Amino acid sequence: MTTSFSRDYFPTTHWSVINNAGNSQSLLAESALNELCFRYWEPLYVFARHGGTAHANAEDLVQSFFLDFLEENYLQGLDSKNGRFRAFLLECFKNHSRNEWKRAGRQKRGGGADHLPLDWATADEKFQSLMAAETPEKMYDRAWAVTLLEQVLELLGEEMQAKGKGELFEELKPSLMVDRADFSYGDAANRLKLSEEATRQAAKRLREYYQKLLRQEILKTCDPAEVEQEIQFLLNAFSD
Amino acid sequence: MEVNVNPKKCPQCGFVFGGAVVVSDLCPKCLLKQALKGRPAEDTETLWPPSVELLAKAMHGNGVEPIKLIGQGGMGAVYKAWQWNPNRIVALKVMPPTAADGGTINQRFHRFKREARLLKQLSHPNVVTVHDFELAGDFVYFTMDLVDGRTLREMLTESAGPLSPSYAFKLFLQLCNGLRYAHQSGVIHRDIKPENLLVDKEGVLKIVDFGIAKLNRGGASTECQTSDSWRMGTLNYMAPEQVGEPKAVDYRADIYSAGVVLYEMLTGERPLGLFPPPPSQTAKVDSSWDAVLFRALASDVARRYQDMREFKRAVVAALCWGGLGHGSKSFRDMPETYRRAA
Repeated sequence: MTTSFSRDYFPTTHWSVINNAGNSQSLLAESALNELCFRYWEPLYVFARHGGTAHANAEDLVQSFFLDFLEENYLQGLDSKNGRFRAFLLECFKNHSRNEWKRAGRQKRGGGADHLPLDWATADEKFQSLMAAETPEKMYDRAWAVTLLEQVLELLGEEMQAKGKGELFEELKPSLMVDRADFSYGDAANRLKLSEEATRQAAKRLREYYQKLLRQEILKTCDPAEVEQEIQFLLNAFSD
Repeated sequence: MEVNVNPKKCPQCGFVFGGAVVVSDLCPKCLLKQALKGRPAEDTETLWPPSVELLAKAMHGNGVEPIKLIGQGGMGAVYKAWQWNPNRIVALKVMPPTAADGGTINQRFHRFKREARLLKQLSHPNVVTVHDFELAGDFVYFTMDLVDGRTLREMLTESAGPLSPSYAFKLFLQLCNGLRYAHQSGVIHRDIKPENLLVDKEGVLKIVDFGIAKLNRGGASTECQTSDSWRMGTLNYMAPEQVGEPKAVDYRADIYSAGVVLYEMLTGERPLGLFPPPPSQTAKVDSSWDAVLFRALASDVARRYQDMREFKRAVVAALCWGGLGHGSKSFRDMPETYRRAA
């Protein structure tokens, strides 16, 4: 009997599935990989900037990295030991950076008509506000966590809006922070014209939904067994 | 964009953050702590697909040991797994925790048991063999043959257009054989589409997921059409009666879906809308295919081919006469090679 299932039997963006694609050169696995790259390019820019690269050079470096990344079949170098997508992407970027410096003096790559539509200004703003971290790797991890949280909150907001609960979401959003002592459910209840108990229940449900969405998003970048570990890792990136 | 780096100190944890790090004006550190604090019980409702460890725990004693997740979608998550008795590698398909009708896992399991017995009896080269259908903890699962191959969907994506008529014919004959066998055994697929057709390295087409659509849709309820797990891709292959009168669906729904698959293989497009263009207008195929496909795609089940054999014969005739340019459409006048194929 044969020993592997069709890789693309189910379309998915899960990293584990991309990772398992190995040398199959599966189109869907590649497209999932591309999607993940476009979601998480900002942390790479932050990494490059903190490593001492000037703004314009960091742009070029990330630009050329993604052009290479999307052109070449990076899946071929994958095996099950490669762990999480976060680490994989950084490792690829470091390799690329080393090669780019070797090419110094040659024509800069990444220029010209092939520029990817990335928002460098926002990424630079992020870089400046993350200056506190001591190493480029830690900066990268922090930027990764922020990118992840932004996506989860955006999705949460969109879904609440779609359910006609946009106002509730905006009002209860601060309660997503753990142990928020200064959050007044009474005031929020008055503004929402709900009872305090109903407001507390709504906040509880919002927190649960947030926790679920966050895990789903993380699941796209690592093995299901590593989700809790990954949350802890990202939290540690913010410790001094 | 103006750079705004006003540092803020989180009133809860004291972490200093500012600029774009303010995630919706919330402290990222406290948001991550919240996520950890609310660690959900690892159940199928909160974390899908289940981890290999969780699944292994649930399956302990069932003689199946999941190895790794190899795919997931609306119809379930698929793992490569080891079966202990007999010793072999299998595909383990675990169903999503919630059916479109909101039924419990137990209800679904018992409702589908009779059909599952029929599935286990199917043994045909063009049908992926199902070994077991069981309940383990909160999971309903199937074990089946592991196939090394690609889906027809992937092949269509790669070709970025129609397949050659002769190759489409070769695959379609196998689809006909598998479906005919299943129908004769009393099993309807209900979800024939390129994603459910695997082609292995030897070019053998294998149909997967017989009857599973019924299991997931909780007894052919129309609610499936709005369920998250129900992908729009599936709707394109669904016979009209599956939408209008799902309880009246019989094997002729599979004939319609097979017609859509054939249309797509020949033209590279799906027959969308009330009046899809005849295949001969959009692809380099003989006009004899038009009548064959439109009959398979008839909205009225009575006007459709009444079984897969009839459909297959019509396809063989179209290929034969279309390709050779003969005038007669009689099956008996067909060259022996084609007659045997049919």
